[in-house]
Amino acid sequence: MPGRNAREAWRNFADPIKRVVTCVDLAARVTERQIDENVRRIAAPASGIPFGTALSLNFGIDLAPVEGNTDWRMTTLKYDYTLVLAKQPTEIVFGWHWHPFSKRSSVTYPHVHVPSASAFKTKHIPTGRISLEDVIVFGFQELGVLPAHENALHVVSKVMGNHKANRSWA
Amino acid sequence: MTTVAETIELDDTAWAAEREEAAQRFLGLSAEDFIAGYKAGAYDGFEPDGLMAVLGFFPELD
Repeated sequence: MPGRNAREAWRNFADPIKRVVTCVDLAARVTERQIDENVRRIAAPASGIPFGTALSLNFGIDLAPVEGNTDWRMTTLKYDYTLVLAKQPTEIVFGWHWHPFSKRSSVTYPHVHVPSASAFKTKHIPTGRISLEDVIVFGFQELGVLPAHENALHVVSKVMGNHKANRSWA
Repeated sequence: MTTVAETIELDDTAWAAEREEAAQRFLGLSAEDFIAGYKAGAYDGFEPDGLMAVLGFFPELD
């Protein structure tokens, strides 16, 4: 969602994230950090957010405000969404990444890693741009994650719809 | 019912703690050891599974 200024654009981006994370864990918290003058980060606590009984979710999204002709938007500079085994967090199950400005990686397209796919675990499997809501729906539909409250599916669906209607990418 | 997650604005102390937790959680290293290893080239041509998640907490390196 755009805003009338950079501050409102941030709030309109971050608030839906704060709603959807509670759809998988009512006690979920998020962190924010101003990385530099222009870049702000929203993330799960490094300790992760419970994602069903066996998994834990970490995510981080770096954003910068961009002024348009009539409004301000937040543009995503990088993201990572990581699902790990809750009891052994070094075991990553899925990792969705997009880091087009990374200095160390030449992979500029959004991709997913599936480390359990052994021989192919370092391959960057292309994806479209992925949102946190996509990961949460994947959890609900494929990983047996139970919605944390009775309205969770509706909330995620609504946030996903708003995001798709307002994003600048296809 | 719509619930909204509590937000923690990370000051420098809390940010340092998060960096430590991330390095330990994904790589089993202290933040200090991760930084030293990264700068020494330990991850040149080698990408352990959790590296990009950790690097999100160390923007000065990437």
